[in-house]
Amino acid sequence: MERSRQKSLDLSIQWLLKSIDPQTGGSRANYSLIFNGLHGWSGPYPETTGYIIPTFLKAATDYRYSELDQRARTMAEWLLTLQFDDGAFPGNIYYPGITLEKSIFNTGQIILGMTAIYDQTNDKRFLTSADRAAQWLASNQAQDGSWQKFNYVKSFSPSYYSRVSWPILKVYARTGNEVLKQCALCNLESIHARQLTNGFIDGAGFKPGSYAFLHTVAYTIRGFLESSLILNDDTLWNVGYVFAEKLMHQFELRKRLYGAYYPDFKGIKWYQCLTGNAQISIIWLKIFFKTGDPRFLNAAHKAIDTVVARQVKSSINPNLIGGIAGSSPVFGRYMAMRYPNWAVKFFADALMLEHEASKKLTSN
Amino acid sequence: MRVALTAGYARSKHAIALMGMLKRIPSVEVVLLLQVKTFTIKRLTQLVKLYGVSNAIQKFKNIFVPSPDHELADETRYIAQFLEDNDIGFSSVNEACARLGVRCTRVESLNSDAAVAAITENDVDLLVYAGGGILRKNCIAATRYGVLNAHSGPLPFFRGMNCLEWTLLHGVKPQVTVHLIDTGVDTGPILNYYPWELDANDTIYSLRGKSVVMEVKALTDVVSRFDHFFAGKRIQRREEGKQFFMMHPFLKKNLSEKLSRNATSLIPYEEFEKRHFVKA
Repeated sequence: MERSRQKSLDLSIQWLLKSIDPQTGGSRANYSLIFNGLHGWSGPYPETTGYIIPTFLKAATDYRYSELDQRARTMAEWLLTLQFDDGAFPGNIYYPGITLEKSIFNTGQIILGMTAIYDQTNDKRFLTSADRAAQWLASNQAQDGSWQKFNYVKSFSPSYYSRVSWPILKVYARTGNEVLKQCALCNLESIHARQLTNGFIDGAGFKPGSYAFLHTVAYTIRGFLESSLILNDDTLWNVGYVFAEKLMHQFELRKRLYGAYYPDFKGIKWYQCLTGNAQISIIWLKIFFKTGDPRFLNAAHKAIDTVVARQVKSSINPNLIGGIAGSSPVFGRYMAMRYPNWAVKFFADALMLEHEASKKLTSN
Repeated sequence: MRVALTAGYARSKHAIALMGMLKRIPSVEVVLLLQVKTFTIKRLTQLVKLYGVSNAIQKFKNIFVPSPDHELADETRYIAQFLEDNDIGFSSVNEACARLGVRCTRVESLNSDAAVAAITENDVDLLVYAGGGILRKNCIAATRYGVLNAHSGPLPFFRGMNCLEWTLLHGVKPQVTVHLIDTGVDTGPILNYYPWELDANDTIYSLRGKSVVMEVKALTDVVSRFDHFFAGKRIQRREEGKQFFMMHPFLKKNLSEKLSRNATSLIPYEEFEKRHFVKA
């Protein structure tokens, strides 16, 4: 790995280790001296702890961060304790004694962790957990493919729920349960129907009829691409591809990704959503792997540069070192004044995938 | 045929070479040179946006105080040698114009009213592009035949920036394409192709330098037989190509390593087109 990238990956892994809550073993959602008092750390976040598991496993297996193996397992064990009897996982940040609500999206993201730890350990408890969670998602799906309950915004089934279909399909790929496949496809089709002629997928934000942070735009696209890879479905691939390609063109011409986008691709320019930058670079790398088109690798390198430049490399506060702010500048609208664990997670994923993409290019 | 030429800056060796070569074509009368002012806020802003602050400063520095150690020196020595070999001894386009009797007009932009007026007043048949920024419709439409450009990669597939590098990264032999400029990015009618060969120890920078020389030769050839090439022009379809952007240093490094060990396995563009592109 290129030296500056290796340093960034080291900083990211060290920061993610610092984020681990000593009581639960889960990864704390964010660090912020403004929102979380003098302590600085929020409580652990089940959703992102779930999808940090595959990051840790990959870093342990392929990049010799061996202690992460056990950390991932501890995370998964903690998540098992949070699962509701009906299979759902909770949303929101965990604080002892506070009751958590069930969440469609967060359940999906935790499945990503459960399937990854199952693949690694072959421990059936994790697959059973993922299967129960997926079946809970299927049983709560409305006929039109959306979810009307357990949403972030009441009765709004956003387009980034394509990233709920992806984990459902992961369970389908391991259990062969056709009900799950139909559930995922029905959801993806309903979201596909929202795609505009310019490639944008409407409803990709947290709220209906509003802008979408790059973070949730990336969730939306990734859901389609990953689902298509599992099902080998070109139609699903193209839904994500045209959206991602448009962003790539705009990024190359404007030299930056915007913090948030409206459906006409006009953006909110005054801040960048750094986690979104990392997520989009992952998407472009995925496209490079599938198509071999080096323009996407090129754009991914540049998008990763924007995050490398903004990762905290030195500070008198050790909890900031390795952290990545939600927005740049730090007071931007997305996760203002906070350093979320998912920004670092996606950045670490991007760095590892970038390294593999570079190896692929070299071997071609 | 009445021909005008553009120049991105006064000491552009590329433009000086073209001026010298075009003046030697008996059927061509070079009537105008449009030199874009080097220091305008808009231009500087565009350069910084395109290359980043440090690279933009380095580019400017190299124009005025060329450093023999900088990689750009490797790039520019081929066009310098070409000028010497062809006895073109001007140090700037202004000097070339003065000595060759060509009107030289300095403009803020090639799309400015002043530029368009100069083209119209001089009854220009063909504008030959040798730098100066993106052209808009008003400038393109001001001449009889349009604006001629030499593109560093094979069209229609490789459009946009750094196309020599992108061509090589795709394992394709380098080729200069001469085409007419339209309002799209390298999407105008193609007049002719000029493939050329690599040497075993070429670097990205030596190749870029050689490509510039080939571009001068290609434009000179097309202008000298313009009617012939214009009659046989190939119209591009938008979907035939891809737009490429500035290549990231990691990809350049990868390409450099490939060049050092694998330069002879490049395929001709025609073969690449057959393999990778389904014609409608």
